[in-house]
Amino acid sequence: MNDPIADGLAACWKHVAAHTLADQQVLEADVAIIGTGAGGATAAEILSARGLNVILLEEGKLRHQKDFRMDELEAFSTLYQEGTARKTADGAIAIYQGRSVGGSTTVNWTSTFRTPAPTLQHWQSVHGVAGVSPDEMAPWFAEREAALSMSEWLVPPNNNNAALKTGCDRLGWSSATMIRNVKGCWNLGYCGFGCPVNAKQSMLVTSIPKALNAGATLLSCARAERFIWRGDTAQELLCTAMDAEARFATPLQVRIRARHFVLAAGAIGSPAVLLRSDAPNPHETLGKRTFLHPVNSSTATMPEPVRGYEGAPQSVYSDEFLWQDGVAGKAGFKLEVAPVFPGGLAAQETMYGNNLNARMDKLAHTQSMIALIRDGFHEESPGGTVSLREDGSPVLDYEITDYLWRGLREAYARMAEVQFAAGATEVALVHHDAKPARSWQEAKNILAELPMKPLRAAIFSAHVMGGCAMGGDPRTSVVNHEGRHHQLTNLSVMDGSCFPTSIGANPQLSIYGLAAKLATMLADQLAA
Amino acid sequence: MTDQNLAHPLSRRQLLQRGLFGTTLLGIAASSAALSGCAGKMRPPPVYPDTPSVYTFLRRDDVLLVSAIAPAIIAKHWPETDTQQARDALLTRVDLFITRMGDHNIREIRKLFDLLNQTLTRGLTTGIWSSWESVDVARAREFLDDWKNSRLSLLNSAYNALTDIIGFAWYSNPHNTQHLGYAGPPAHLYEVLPQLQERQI
Repeated sequence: MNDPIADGLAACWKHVAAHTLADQQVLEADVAIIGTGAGGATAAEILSARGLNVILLEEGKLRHQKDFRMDELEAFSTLYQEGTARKTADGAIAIYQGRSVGGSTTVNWTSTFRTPAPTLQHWQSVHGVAGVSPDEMAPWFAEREAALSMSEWLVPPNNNNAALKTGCDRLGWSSATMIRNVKGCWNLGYCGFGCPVNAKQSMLVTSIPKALNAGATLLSCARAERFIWRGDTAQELLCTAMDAEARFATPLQVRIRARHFVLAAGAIGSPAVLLRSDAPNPHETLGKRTFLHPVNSSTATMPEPVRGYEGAPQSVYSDEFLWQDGVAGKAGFKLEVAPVFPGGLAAQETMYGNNLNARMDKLAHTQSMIALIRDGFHEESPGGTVSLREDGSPVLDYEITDYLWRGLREAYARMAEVQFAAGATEVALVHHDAKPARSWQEAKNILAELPMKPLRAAIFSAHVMGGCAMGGDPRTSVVNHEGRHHQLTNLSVMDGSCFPTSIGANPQLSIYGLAAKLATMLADQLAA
Repeated sequence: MTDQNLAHPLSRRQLLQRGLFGTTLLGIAASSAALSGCAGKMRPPPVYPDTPSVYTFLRRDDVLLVSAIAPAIIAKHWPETDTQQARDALLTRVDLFITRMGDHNIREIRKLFDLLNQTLTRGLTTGIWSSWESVDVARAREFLDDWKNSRLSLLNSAYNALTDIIGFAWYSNPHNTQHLGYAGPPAHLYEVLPQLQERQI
């Protein structure tokens, strides 16, 4: 099977794992890009195509098709930040972010949405971001959709997704088929484990090979520590080489000098590099307004087998409640499903003994509904704050406000409602204090008594956004509408951390489209 | 089991007053703003001198701890025969999983396991004064229930961490889930995807 990474490595690509370099080695480039996910890889493709000499940095290891063995423990422990153990400061929200070459695109579920128009309009009107109207963004989205083979999923949904569609149809709620970035997809269902057949058009098989074919250098196992800066200029980036498995830091340092630096380390990693650098932060906006699309979930038992571990993980969604109260009203949510693998199900439920056995006995009949809360559009949803621990590693402090709890409570209700409508015989809200319900009425009664509290409700996030917000006013943002840092003129941010709010949809295309726009502007300026 | 659990020699309030959680349990899942804002250098990887050679993270005491708790978590899915083999496989997977969680989580889990292994801190937080070797499944279940339902969020997150790590390590093993309908990737793929034949775990 064709693997562009294996082919490229066998040919002429410049790929270096940092620990193989000499200590204090200095690398030079026109542009150094920190991070190889949706933002960094897109920027690398565009900048290197314009003849600029690009170094692309990644803290994780280069893993590709030969490493994707469809094994839960191996995938979770090698392809995700902190081996999937990353959590918010109080431990209440589990955070899933990618951590290998390709970033989260290596492990995402391929769900593709343009940034919703109300979100873009909100960014313009409330956050003063110029140039991001739906019309102005449309060509950037269209170009990336074509480049990454994004199209509507024409294969029938698996039973897990079909339940969402059936339930919505019966209740008269809207639902639709997803767009996915796949080419020759085998419909296996292992997107979250690294695509074993290279069908997913992640950065790993698209933008990264294009950048490397154009002469870019990939430096893996390299953690960006901090910038050395003076006045308004970032002069040098200090990096720590990680060991061969990219787990622990080695004593070896690598220095990178570049005309321009692009930060795309994700919405926890990007603010962290700037915080470690003591970068100018006159209005203390850095690391603030970090958003998560907090997700709660509901587990149903269906009469027929669901086999939620087979088939495209996400292919149906419902926006019935996403904008129900307007863009800045009560917390709306998007309804989707989550794949059901045994390890993940056990971890999500955090149950033990008979309760855990009962859940796992119904594995094959389990349908998993999730709701993604749209955060950051209301004054009672100010987001979280990224800060540094004593050891320099970043942590996100995110309080789930009463406003968000109200949204989560309503989401629990709607998830149970749609699951019963789809024919569920039993529904369990994923919450420490929730007993399974046999009917929609019983679920409502259980929910009425359920405390909406951290560490009782099981909440997770796979969409970390914000922390280096774009905006017209330096007093309320970190970068301008071109992604340029307000104080350090040769530093740009091009990833989900630029977003001034959450998106209200799975964010990969929002990042691709925005990064393509920002990188093209930067290329024009650097070439001039 | 509730916070009024009589098996506990000290009330929660007393424990809090004595400040045990403040020092020993600090930041099990919660690092805090108090520790933030300092751009220190990364520390070297943690090294644990009495780690049995087959494991990277787990020490001898941890092996007893996990071995005592796991049958309570896995309950009737815990095998009645070949128990030793199942336990060894689980320990290997728990060790691997934790080892890959990064420096911060490794240090936090170390603190949690140490708290559960030292007689005084274990006794005060769980009411279990004897070593884990002599703790039966029923008593381990009480311990889990107590921490799950504690009003102390640090104990809740410690409970989450224990059930998450052990539950995931157990059920992510396709050998343990065949009878539930999931036996790993479809068999026919092994012929067409050579990487599947080189399983690492």
